[in-house]
Amino acid sequence: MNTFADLLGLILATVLTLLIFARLWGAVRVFYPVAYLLLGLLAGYVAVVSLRRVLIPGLLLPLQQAQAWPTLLLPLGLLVLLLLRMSGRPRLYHLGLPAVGWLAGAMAGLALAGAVRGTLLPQMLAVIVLTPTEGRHPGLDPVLTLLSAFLTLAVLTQAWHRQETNPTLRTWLTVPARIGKLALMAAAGVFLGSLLTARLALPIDRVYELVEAWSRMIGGGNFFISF
Amino acid sequence: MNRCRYCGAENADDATLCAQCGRVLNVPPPQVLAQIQGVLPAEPVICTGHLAPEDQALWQELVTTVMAASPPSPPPAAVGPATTVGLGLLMLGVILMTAVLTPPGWRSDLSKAPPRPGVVAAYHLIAVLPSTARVLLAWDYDPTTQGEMQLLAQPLLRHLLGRRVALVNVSLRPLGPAMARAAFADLAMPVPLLQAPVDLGFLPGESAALQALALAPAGVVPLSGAARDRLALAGNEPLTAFDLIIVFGAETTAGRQWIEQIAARQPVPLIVVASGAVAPVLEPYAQTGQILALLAGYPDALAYEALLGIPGTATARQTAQSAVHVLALVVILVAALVRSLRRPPSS
Repeated sequence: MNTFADLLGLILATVLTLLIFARLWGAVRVFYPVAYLLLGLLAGYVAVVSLRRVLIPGLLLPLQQAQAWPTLLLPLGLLVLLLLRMSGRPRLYHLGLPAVGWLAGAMAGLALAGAVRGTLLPQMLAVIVLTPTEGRHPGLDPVLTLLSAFLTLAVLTQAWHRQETNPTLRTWLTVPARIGKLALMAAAGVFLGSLLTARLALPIDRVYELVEAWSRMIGGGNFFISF
Repeated sequence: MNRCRYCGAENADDATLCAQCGRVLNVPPPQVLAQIQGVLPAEPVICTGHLAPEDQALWQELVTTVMAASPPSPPPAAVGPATTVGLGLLMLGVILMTAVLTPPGWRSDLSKAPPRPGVVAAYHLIAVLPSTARVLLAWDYDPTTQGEMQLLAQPLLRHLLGRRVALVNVSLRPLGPAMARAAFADLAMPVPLLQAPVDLGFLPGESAALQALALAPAGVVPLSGAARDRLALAGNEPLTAFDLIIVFGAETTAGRQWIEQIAARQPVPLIVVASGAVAPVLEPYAQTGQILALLAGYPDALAYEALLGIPGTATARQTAQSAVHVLALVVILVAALVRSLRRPPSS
């Protein structure tokens, strides 16, 4: 297990990890070459996966079969039009617009239909259902609903308060606007807190992996159990 | 001079990155396909780059404008190099030293905390699966979130392997298959050959691929004879339905795509395992029952291991996780205090 290649890989992993961490104290000149190296490797991996799992089985292999040609004409035509956009010549570039339109239209159509069917309608129906029902829908909690409605109005009032020029109206809006501001701050705090907690798992995982790998390499045991 | 919109530092006209904070100076205008995620196969590369997405920048600007008590003021003076170095080193030291040197005896057993409803629901959904069940595992995260997502994936994989169900891996991200292999390889238990998952690999096309998978799964990925045997498919029987779908997705879009394109079309139990960062956005889907179980973040990984009764990586790392969170909080408070003390009296 403790081969020279393992040792070399572990040293490389440790050095690269420390160089990435160097970003924390502002060593940008050290950080960016390593970051670009990793992004380059990632891009290369994605290119290989795309070639092996998409282009070869989806395009090149079917092209070898004569009966598959009719079904490939349209995608091939769109592919050629898309490639024309990389030519750098304005006229050829514009020829690729139908392919881009097709691509964007299809994706937007799918996304829109999915959003209506899978998000908007179910979410709206869940709010409209006023009585608890069996199974999935827990029903509506009147207190929670009123609180949510109030907070929504307060957040809207916060935006209104900033734009209002009438002094009397501004005075009336001050209190709900402050509540709305607090609600916004709480929401932002929850979001940022979740983000921080989630992202902290990565450096902890990285350090653990490295320390465990080094302990296995040096002592053949588990550092955290034998500590 | 080229002024950084993040830290306000002046840079040379031809500079692309800020010499002070290292961020991109000139954000390119959004292109035709910028808002349509998943069109390009290299999307993960773009996402993992340093450039902040346009929508995040807009959101940041909106919140800043709304929250400001007075009209926007010029950006504050950048923190001096000495403070930056000090805080950076402090943070790095805290994370490294805590993770490595925290004694095992100093352990608050977080696994005794009551699990969230999503954890219990996921556990029961898997616990009642018969051995003939087919479970689709969607691996939609990349290495940038692997540290968190793999913690969540491992107890679920152990449970599924214990149920001896047929597993099928699929991914809408090019890096997904590699993440799946890493998750299985890092399990502390050997995966019997007969239980090895059928790998459908990377499906390009995002929503379009999902729709094709829902309408004609057999046409999307032709299955080998061994895979058909593994899934107990007779003759030319298509791969039609799954008894359970588990989506491992670190971004909101991953879970939402499966809900909108698959779960909205056919009634299939759906478990979404998400990053803790996006859980609040997916919570409404759990409340409407579109997601039967939502698991997110390190605490859910720990709770699932406790329910399962098999300590895993999350249990082993709870000391470091909890201690680092506490100490990170201390660092943030200290940094805020230092920052406020250094602020000029005029502001």
